[in-house]
Amino acid sequence: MSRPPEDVLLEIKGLKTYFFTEEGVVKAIESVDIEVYKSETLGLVGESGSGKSVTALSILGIVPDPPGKILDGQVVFHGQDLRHLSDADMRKIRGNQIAMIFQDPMTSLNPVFTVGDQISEAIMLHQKVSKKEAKEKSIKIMSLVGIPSADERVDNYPFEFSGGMRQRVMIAMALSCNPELLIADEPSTSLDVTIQAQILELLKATSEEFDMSIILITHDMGVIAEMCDRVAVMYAGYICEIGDIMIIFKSPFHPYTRGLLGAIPRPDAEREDLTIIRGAIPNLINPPSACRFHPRCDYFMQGLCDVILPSIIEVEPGHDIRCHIYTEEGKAWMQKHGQQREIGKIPIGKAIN
Amino acid sequence: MSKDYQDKSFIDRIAQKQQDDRIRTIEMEKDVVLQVKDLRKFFDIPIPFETTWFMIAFVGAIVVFAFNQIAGLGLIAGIIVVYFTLPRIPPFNKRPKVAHLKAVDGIDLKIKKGKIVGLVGESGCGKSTAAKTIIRLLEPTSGAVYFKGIDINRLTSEEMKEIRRHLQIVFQDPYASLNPRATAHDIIIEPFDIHGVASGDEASYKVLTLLKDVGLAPHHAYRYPHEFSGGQRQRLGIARALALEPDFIVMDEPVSNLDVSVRAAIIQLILDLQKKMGLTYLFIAHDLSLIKILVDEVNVMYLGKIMEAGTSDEIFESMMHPYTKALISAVPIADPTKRSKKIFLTGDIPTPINPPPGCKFQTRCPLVSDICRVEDPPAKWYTNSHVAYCHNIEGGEESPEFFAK
Repeated sequence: MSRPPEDVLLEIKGLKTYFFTEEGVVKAIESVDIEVYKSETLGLVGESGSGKSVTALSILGIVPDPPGKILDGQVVFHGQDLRHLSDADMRKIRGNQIAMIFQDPMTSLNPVFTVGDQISEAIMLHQKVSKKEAKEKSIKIMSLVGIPSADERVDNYPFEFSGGMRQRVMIAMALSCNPELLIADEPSTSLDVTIQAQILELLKATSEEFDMSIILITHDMGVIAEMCDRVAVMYAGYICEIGDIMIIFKSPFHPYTRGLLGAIPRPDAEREDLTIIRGAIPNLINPPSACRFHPRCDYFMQGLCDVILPSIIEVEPGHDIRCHIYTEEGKAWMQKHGQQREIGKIPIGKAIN
Repeated sequence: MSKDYQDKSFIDRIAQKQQDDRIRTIEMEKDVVLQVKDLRKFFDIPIPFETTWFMIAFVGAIVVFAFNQIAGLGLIAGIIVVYFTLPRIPPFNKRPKVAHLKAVDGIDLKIKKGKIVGLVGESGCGKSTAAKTIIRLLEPTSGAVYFKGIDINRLTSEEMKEIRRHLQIVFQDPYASLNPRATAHDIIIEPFDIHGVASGDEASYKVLTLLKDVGLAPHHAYRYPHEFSGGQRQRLGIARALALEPDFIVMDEPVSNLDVSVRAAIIQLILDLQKKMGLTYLFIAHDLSLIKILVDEVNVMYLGKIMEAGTSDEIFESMMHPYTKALISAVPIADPTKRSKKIFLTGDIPTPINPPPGCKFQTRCPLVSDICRVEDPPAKWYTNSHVAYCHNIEGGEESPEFFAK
């Protein structure tokens, strides 16, 4: 299911972000291509250290510099490349058209200001309103995100809120300027399941109400399955698979996606069905050559996967994969070696070998 | 020294002391490894004496001091004397000096040999405190834990040392629970030294065997904890717990800090070891999708109490308690075709300090009624293993004996 190009809200092309640290250059993002359509929820999933958060920071141009630097690529939002905007213009977009919420609401809220002050600040920065109007708007948005007796709570400090309520304050702040795109970086990871369910439901409801797109970053496949329309799977700085949620969960094409899905307890799974991706995520100062997944891959093709980086292949409309099993080089290798590397539509959860 | 021999000598020695009032024993069912009865663990939190008025008086006294030194000095001395004596004079001494944080408020468990028993709940529900109290890393406030028929909470530290080798624990954060200045070899060999099980080459050989058992290589033996990845560190923690061939291991969120792919590998290891060594686990987790596929029996905990207990199938297929229902429906299911309608609990988990009387779940319960605010909920048995504690759910019998016939 691919949508017409005029529906694209944000397009990331060939994004490359490195961190220049004392130990060496951390190649956090090598090449990321993502399209975000209007009013959709796109999931960005991967293990820790795969570059999900750095992608989010790169979109907003808030990669800590130094040590981080965006070296290449385009971030096209409403037809303009955000990377070429001046700081002043970028500030108009940040928080206004693109908002972000972070994993730990306590560290991203200022402890010495009331939450009302902090929400009003965002409103007054982007809209010409008086302090009083901004506060009224803050109260309105706080009750919208489900904070009880918002007119009293508006004068409370962050420490007076529980974890779930703090995350609601963050969401209120992000929604205060009716953004077109919300980047939610692990919004529910530090919360309990019952609170997580409340927060996810709130995100779903507000995205419908405000007609807003969401990039939902998480490592939890369950959250992705509940929330998203499309999903992008990230590994060590590359997008390995991107496509419609139904297709990816039913028959993932990339070996890494299969591994991820096999490693989590699925609803009808048995104990024995948990499969393992061997090894660990590589150190990105010195990443494996070519396809960075090759040392852990069950379908590794000697002399190809570790030499040539696979290009992106569109296996079906709207379903892109970066893996040699589907490339011309890969097919040639299989023919030459007389070995098949077929993963089409075997159900996951069962052992692959 | 064979394991049977050690057990026998230990039981014998305890049996000799049976006449001693201190030792409390019960007749345990044959396949039960560990039985917990009405275990409670309260933490005392001191309430500071109200200082606001004292401060106002003190500032006033300093102002007086500025004008009239002698009178001011007398006033300051007077306030200090009053501040220290007031809490001892009636009626001020009636004021409670400590608040009770009821982390574990009366739980019962029966853990059968070779089973994996799950203890689930949200953060702050007391599951980790319960685990630590069960193996007596924390002294319980009241209640008993029977191991081989003996209440371990009444044993002296000398006797307890013998028991410890049978009861082990694996912690959530392996980095915090491994000595950063000891190598893997030193960490695993320590239990051998303490219990005098093996020494010298024999001990070193055992260490290597253990490392192999948990999927580490011999060359890992001389590495320090920081040189391992998260998954490997957890393997090391497991190896240490296995060193003395325990009967029972508490797994306190052993995979919560790990990435999904690593998590699956550790779960596999835990299951393999259980099969190989016939271990019994108390598995603590907040991840219900994991609990579902892993454990045989589930205990759902909320604010220090068990809300519902039963076999894995009973809890996940035919749960009765409103909290269990909400908890299970809140778990995201990794299948986009099965997006379900969720039950949303309003509000947050209240603090366990001086909780209200009656049912602990009353503040968030969709079925709450007047009686819940007064009386503790009764046990309602649905099978001889499935019990829920709630006033407002249908059916159920008063005791499990009903199903025995």
